[in-house]
Amino acid sequence: MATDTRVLDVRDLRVSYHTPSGPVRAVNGVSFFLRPGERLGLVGESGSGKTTTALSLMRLLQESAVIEGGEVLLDGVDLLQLSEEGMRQARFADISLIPQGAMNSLNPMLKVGAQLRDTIRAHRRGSSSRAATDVRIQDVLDSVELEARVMDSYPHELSGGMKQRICIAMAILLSPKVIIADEPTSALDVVVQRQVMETLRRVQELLGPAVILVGHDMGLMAQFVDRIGVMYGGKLVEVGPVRGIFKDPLHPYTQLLIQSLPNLRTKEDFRGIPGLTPSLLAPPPGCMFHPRCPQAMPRCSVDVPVLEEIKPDRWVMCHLYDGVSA
Amino acid sequence: MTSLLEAQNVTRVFGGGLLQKGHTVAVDGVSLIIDEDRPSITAIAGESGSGKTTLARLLLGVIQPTSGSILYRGDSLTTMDGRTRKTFRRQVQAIFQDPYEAYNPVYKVDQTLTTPVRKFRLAHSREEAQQLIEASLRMAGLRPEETLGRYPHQLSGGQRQRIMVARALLLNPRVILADEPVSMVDASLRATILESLVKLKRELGISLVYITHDLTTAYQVSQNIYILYRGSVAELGSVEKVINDPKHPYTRLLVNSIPLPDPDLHWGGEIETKASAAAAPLPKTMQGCKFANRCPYVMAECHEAPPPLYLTEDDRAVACYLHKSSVPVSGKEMAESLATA
Amino acid sequence: MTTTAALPRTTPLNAASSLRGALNRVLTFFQENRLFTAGVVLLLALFLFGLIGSFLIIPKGSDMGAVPLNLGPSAKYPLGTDGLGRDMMAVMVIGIPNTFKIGFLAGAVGVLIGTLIGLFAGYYKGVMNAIFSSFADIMLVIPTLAILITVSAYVRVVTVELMAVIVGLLAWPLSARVIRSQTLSLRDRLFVQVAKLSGENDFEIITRQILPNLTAYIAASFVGAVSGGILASVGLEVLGLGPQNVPTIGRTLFYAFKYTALFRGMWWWWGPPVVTLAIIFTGLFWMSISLDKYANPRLKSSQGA
Repeated sequence: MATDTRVLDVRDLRVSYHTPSGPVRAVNGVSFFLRPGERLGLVGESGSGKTTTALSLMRLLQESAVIEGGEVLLDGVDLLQLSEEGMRQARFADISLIPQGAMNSLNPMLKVGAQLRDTIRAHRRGSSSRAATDVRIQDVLDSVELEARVMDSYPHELSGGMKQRICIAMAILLSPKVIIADEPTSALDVVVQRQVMETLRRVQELLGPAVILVGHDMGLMAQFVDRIGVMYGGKLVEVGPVRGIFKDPLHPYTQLLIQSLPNLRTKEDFRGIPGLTPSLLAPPPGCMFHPRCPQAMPRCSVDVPVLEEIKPDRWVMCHLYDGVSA
Repeated sequence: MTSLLEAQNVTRVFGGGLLQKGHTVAVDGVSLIIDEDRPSITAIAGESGSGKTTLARLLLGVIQPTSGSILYRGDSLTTMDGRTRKTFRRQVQAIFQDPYEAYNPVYKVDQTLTTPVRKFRLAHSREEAQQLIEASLRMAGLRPEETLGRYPHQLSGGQRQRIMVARALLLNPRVILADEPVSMVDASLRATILESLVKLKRELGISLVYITHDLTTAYQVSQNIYILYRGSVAELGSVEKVINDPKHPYTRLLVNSIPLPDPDLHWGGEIETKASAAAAPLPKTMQGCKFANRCPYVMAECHEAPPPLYLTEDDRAVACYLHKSSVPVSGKEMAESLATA
Repeated sequence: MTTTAALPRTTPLNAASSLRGALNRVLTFFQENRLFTAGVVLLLALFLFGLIGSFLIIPKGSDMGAVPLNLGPSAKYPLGTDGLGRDMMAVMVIGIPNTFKIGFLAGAVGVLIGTLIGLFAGYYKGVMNAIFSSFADIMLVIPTLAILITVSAYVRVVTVELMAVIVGLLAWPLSARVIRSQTLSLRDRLFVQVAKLSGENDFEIITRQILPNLTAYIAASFVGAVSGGILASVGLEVLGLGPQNVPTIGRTLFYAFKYTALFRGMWWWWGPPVVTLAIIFTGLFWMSISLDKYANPRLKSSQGA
C-alpha cells in the first residue's frame, strides 16, 4: 500500500460560473490528492472542468467564477482560506502554474531576464542579492536547457518552445512544492512538444515538485504521468495509476475514451463516443454520464454515484461498482 | 488514369516581389494528382510552416500559384472559363479546421446549407431543398430537428463540424479538402467525424485530401501521405511504409515525437538538440536541403543542392541523399504512380 | 468555449413569432443598456416637445414682428419674446424638430456615403483602397467648418435639407474609416471563405456576409455623424449662415448674440437654445458611449464563450 503523505489534498471542490442563463457547475465536488514528487494527469474534454479545477487551486479564476466550497490543503494549509496577500505569496513560491499558451503570459515589453528577476523579487524569502538571484536563474535556465543569453532577449525574439521553457523556468524558480501545467504544449508542434515535456520531466525529477498535468491528450498523459484523474461533466469519475487506466479502465467513460484513441496499429478502426457532452446548466439526473453510457442501469438515472476506492489506489464514481471496496 | 484535381510542380511565394526582401516560399515545387476513377484519401502532413495549408488553398483555387499550375480535369484554374469554374467550385469542396469561425454569427446555421443549394441550384423547390438538407444532415450523423434553426453559438463544436461535413455532402463533390477537420474537436468525437469522412470515400466515391499535423489520424484515415517540410516534400508514399518505417530524417523525427497512448511505449529515437534551428528562417543564400541545419546525418552534398526524390520502394520516395542509391524520380511521376496504385 | 449541449428549441418558426422575437430582442437591448435608453429618452422628450408643442402654438408666432418685443416669460408667452418680436415658444417648438431633421439627414447622408466607400475600399484592396483611404484621410484633416462657411457663402438660398446634405457630404470620412477597417478584417474571416466556396459572388459577400456584421459600427457611426451634423449646422447658423427662412436653434443664438441679449439680461432668448443643445448633446453622448462596447470589441469584458 503506497504511503499516503499528501502534499496537496483537494476536498470536495465546488466552482460555479454565474452566467445570464443561470449558474453553471463547472467543478462539482472534486476530491483528489497528490503525493510528494508525483505526476498526476487531469484529463477531460471541453466542459469537463479540468482547467477550472487547475485554476482554482491557484485562485486565478475569472470574475464570473465563484469557488463555492471545498478545501485545498497544501501541506496542511487551506489555500482557499488564505487572504489575497497570503495567496499572492503562495503563488510561485509554494504552488506555481505553467499556463496554456506561453505567448500570452510573458510580458512583451520586458526582457526575459527582468521577468525572471521580478518573480524572485516579488516573493523574496530571506535576503538575496542580485548576484545570488542571477545564480539561481542561471541554475534554472540550465535545467531547462536554455542558454544564459536568453536573459537579454525579448519574448518575441524567441520561439514558442523556448518561451514555454522559460515559463517552466519561472515556475520552478522558487522551488514550489506543486507545479500545475495547464496544457503547456497545446500551441506547439509535435517535435517541440516532446522537447518541452522531456524538459519538464527532467526538471521535475531533478528538483522534486509534484506536478499536475492538465490536458486532453491521452498520449501525452501516457508518456508523462504516474497517475491519471479522468474528469467528466465537472466531476472526477476515475483516478488510478497510468497503466491501470490504460490497460484496465473501470469507468465506462474511461473505457470508451481509451477505445476511441487512434493508434498506429489498426487502420480505420473508429470508435467514437455517441451523444453529446452534458449541459452543465441543466445536468442530467443521477450520473452525469448515464445518457451516453452503454452499461447504464435504472439506478443511474436516479442516484448520483460517489467516488470510491474500490481497489488499492483505484477510485471510480460508478454504480457498476457499488458494494465493491478496497 | 484520369486526372481530376492536379497540382503540377506548384510553387507559391509570399511577399518580397521585386526587392526579394523578406519573401517566404510557402510551397516549393509540389506535385499531387487525384484520380477521377479511383477514389482515394491522401494525407498532407507537416507542422506549422510546412506549407500544407497554403497547398490546400492552392488546390481550392483560393490563391494562385507563383509557378506551376493547378488543373481541374486538365483545365488550368487560372485560365478556365466561367462555366467550368462554376463546375469546379462545386466539385471541389472543403471542410475547415475551426468549427466556430466557419459560420457567420449573425445567421442561423441553416444559412450555411441553404446558400449552396441556392447558388448551385441543387433543388427546384423549397420542399426539395429542405429534404436535401435534412438528408445530408442525417448522413453526417445529426438530427435536423436538433440542429436547424439554431445559431452557431447554440451548438457544440462537434455539431458545427458535422454540419460542415453535411454541407460538403450536399454539394456531392468529387474531392473534399479537409484542413485539420478534427483538431479542434473533442477526442471522443474525433473518431466519429473521421469515420464519416472515410465513409464518404467508401460509399460515395469522394476523394479526400486530409491535411493535418497529427500523424496518427493520418495513418488511420489515408492510403498515401505527403510529408512536407518548409514547403518541400520530404517523403511521400504509402502511409503504412512512411509511418511504420520512416526513411527521411525529418519523418523519423516526427514519428519519434508522437506521444503514443501506451505507458509502456515511450518516446523513442533521437531527438534533436539544436532546438533554435527549427524556428529560424532559412538563410536566403541557402541552396541545399532545407533540413540540413537540423539533420543529424548531414553530409557535404546536403548543402549544395536540394535532393531529388529517390524511389526506395514502388510506392514510396524520399528526398534525401542518404538514399541516393535508389532511382531518382520526379514529383510528377511519383504523383502519377500513387494515383494509379 | 462550448460547454453546453444543444439547447431545446423554443419557438416554432413562423412570421409572427419571429417578429415577436425581434421585438423581444429590442426590448432586452434597451433593458440592458440603461445609458443608451436614457439618451434616447432625452432626445425623444425633446422631439415630443416639438411635436406636441406644434399643436399648442401658433406657427406664425415665430415670424418676426408677430408679437410684442422683449417680453419676459408670462402666461401668454411661456418662454417670453425676443428682440425681433418672435414668440420664443413657437421658435423653439419649430426649431427643435428642424435641428433634429438636419442632424439625422446629415448623419444619414454621411453614414451612407461613408459605409459605401468604406465597404468598397475595405473589400477590394489594392489601388481602390489606396485612393479612397488617402482621400478620406485628407478630408479628415481639412477643417470642415472652413469648407462649410465657404460653400454656404456661395449658396444663396439655403433650405434645411440642403444644409443637411452639405454637412453630410463632409461627414463621411470618419465612418468610412471605421467601416473600411472592419471590412478589411471581416473579408479574411473563415465564413467569408465558406460563402465563396458556396458560390456567392462579391456583391453577395459584401451585402450578405459582411454588412450584417457591421450594424454595430454603422449605428455607432450614425450617432457620431448625427452629433457632428448638428454641431456643424448649429455652428454655421450661429455665424449667420444656414437657413434664414425657418427658425432654427443656431440662428436664434445668432440673433441673441447680434442683439446682445446677454447684456440685456434677456435670458429667455439665449437660455432655451443653449439648454436644448445641452440636452441634445448629452443624449447623443450617452448613446454613443453605450454603443462603444459593441463597436469597440476591446472594451468588451470577458464573459466566457
